[in-house]
Amino acid sequence: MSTYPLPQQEATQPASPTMDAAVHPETNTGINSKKLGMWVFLASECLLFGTLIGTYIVYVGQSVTGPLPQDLFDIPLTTLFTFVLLTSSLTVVLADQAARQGNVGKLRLWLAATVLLGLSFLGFQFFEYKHFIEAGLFLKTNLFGSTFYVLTGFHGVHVSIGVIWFLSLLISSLRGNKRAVNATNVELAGLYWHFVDIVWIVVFGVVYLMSEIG
Amino acid sequence: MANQMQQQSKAAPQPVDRTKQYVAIFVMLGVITLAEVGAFYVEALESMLVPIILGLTAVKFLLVVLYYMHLKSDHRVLSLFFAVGAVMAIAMFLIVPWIVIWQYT
Amino acid sequence: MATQTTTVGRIPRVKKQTGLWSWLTTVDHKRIGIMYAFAALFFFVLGGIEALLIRLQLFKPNLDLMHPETFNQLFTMHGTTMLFLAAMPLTAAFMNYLLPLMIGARDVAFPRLNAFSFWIFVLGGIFINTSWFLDGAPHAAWTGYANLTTTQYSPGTNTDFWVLGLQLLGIGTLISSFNFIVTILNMRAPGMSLIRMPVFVWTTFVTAFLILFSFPVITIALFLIMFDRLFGTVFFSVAAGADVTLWQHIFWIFGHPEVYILVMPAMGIVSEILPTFSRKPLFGYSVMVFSTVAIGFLGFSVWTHHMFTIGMGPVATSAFALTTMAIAIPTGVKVFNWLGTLWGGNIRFKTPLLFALGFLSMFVIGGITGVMHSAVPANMQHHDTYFVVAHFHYVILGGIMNAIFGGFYYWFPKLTGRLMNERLGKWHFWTFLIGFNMTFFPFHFLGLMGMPRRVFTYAEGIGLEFWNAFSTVGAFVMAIGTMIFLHNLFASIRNGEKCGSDPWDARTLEWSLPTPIPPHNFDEIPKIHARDEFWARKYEGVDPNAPVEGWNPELDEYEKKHGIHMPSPSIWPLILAIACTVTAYGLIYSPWVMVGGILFIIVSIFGFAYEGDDGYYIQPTKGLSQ
Repeated sequence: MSTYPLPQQEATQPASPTMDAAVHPETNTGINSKKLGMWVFLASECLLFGTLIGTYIVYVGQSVTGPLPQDLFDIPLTTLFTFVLLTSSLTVVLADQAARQGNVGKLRLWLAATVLLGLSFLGFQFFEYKHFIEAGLFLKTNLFGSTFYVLTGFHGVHVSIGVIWFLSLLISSLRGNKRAVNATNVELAGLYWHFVDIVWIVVFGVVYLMSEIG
Repeated sequence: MANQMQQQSKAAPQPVDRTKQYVAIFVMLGVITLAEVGAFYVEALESMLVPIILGLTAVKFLLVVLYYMHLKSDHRVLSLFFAVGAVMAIAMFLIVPWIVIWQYT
Repeated sequence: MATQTTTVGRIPRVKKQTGLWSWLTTVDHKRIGIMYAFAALFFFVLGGIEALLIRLQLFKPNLDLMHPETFNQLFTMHGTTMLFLAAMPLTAAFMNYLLPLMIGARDVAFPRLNAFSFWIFVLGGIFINTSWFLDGAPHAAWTGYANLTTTQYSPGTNTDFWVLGLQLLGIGTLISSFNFIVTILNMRAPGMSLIRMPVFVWTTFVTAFLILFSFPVITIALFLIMFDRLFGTVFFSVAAGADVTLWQHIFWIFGHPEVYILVMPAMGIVSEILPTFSRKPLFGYSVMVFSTVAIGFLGFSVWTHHMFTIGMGPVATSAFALTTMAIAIPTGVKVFNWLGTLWGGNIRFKTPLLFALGFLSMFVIGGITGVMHSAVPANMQHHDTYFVVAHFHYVILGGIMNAIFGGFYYWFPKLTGRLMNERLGKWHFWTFLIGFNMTFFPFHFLGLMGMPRRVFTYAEGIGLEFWNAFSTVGAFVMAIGTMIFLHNLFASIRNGEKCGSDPWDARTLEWSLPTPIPPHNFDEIPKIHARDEFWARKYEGVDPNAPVEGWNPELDEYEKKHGIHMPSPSIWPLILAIACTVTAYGLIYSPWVMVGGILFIIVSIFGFAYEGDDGYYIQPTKGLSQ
């Protein structure tokens, strides 16, 4: 609406620490805005997965036809891929530390490890779905099929997004893109990844380990 | 890149190396997971399985949130937001199954 | 027409200050707020036309103006449009425009995401409304109760548009909420402690939290319906053992907070208007803030009062009846605070104040019928009758829309430097208020006489004729009022009486700025010494330059020397919004388009992310600063 003719100056890369501080002035809380935004987002994600898990709980034991969880779940295998995801949380937190310390070599190592672990989790999930489908469980078979696939699928999509995120951080780091890879960006991706991990911790407990009950 | 990161780390509260702590948490997470799976297979524990699993899951959840996501040492407002979200999710989705199913069983 | 192209990374960036392109790429919260307002007014008129058609069909018993199916589409789209495409974006317009100004910030925390929220709202609104020209509009009511939305009862694409359209709108709203929360927490001017923020900022803050915790729930609910419809899951298939009341629970866990999401900003607007026109500080500020937060929390504990008639057992029913009644307490506290603000004030009856009083009176009527609903035995009689329709129109149209109209009259001079016409404003107020009450007060009678909501027509000779006809007449009176408003708005942009930068002798920070407000808002970040800072500067002798806690003089020095950092405009928000909309069409019509759309989204996200958020520097010209 209002045009305001002003002499403009091109943005340049921050030349000195003081200038950097001016571009991102101190916040009232002292928390980086992106990080605060990420936490606010994660608080919201709690309700997202809460609704999915709540739907699963409401429908546990309500299916009128099989196959049912106790016919299909392979607890040792699931335990294994739970470990894969837990390990990836460790590699992420180490990547985060490396980024803070400015250790580029370690950062790349742990980012790469995270991507591999994330991919193998997705591989496991693919294998599990394949096995269940062969056993006759489809999305439309019964309430268990619907709730299980949608809940774990949603989680899987979150894992995939995380893998893509870490992969792009890794590639940017290898190409020396200083704007894209800094301690804040790695920390944000890490927070997201840990959240995806704790969702799986809950899913593993509530969906898999309680499957004999109800 | 290193230059930029050092600047960032200057602002971070504790630039100490925490690898040991992170690995220790990881070991604890692993042990608890094994305990959960163990409880799943022990028939004597069947009647107690739900509280055991819920309790151990909560411990794992808290370990990751407090140490890997740094909520223990980070600004308290972050913990507040996340706690409100998590508690609301848990509360509402215990009430719904109770109204729909559990109160009749 | 200064055009500059700079290369940031590999993506060229165009910077234009005028013309269409500058609006498409803008990240300025003020421009985004203005676009929200005009887009939402468009949808408001659209929803109003739908309402008039509904009223025409109900003018007489056994009328047959349209096919019953069309009637279903009309009331579904009327509800959806008014809630998600008119009322919420109108409040978003005020939040966007005012929030940074009121807390002394230069913009919101994430300007590009803010632009994305806006574009996805516009495209989502267009998306839902294109269904009129394709296979018909959504027809399962704005609550989309299962299993009316399953393929069995809604075989066409109607409901798909509703599900995916709301999904698009939900993304934008959620992102806005992240943005506002971070902005309020992190970007307040030095001295602006939480307890010095204007009440409108507080209500925005609480609204953002309500969105934050309720919109993910509807996101999942819509996904469940979408999977049922597109991929054959059985979430709401009774034959497979599903319980359709689950939808009602999930929907109302979102739906009830949604009502507060609408009303909170309206309360905030009224809390700004009343003190200005009674020339007194807001009565009981801290109690007001506390009540706002309390309503926010309680809003999540009352969802089942929308579904008392499904039979949830005595424990759940009584518990939720009690929490519902409890909400009346903080709400009542607010009403008395507003009255206390007026009491003993030096009141000037300008148009904004009239609308604020319209809000107060209509909202109280709607609130009282709300308490009536919380009494379960009475609720059994009201449920799904016109009594309920009367209740929520009193809250939403009589309450919220009155506050929004008041906000338009109040802040219009800040945007344009011109006043809206007072005489037309009074005509608007009275025609709207009288038309509104003619339309909706009879609904109470109709409801108690047993007229169910959402019926296509009614029989002759059962006593429903007179009030229905009366109500239809009232609807047209209200339409005249709205037309007066639109005329006044557009005419005043060019011909309104010119005024200074503070025509109402107002209290909050935005009035301390020159009109029109420069893109960077503040030449120098203000220092806040009092709750009504601008008033304190004008009348209480507060020195604007007196140092406050948290003030960093180096930053001001730096800005004087090097200029003010501004976020660069970006086209990616629009592109990303287009990508999401393409995917939504793909989900309905073609899996290939869907896959293409998802790839398009991924590419856009990378474009968005790698473009980065760096900006440019502007040097405020001397003499403009206050």
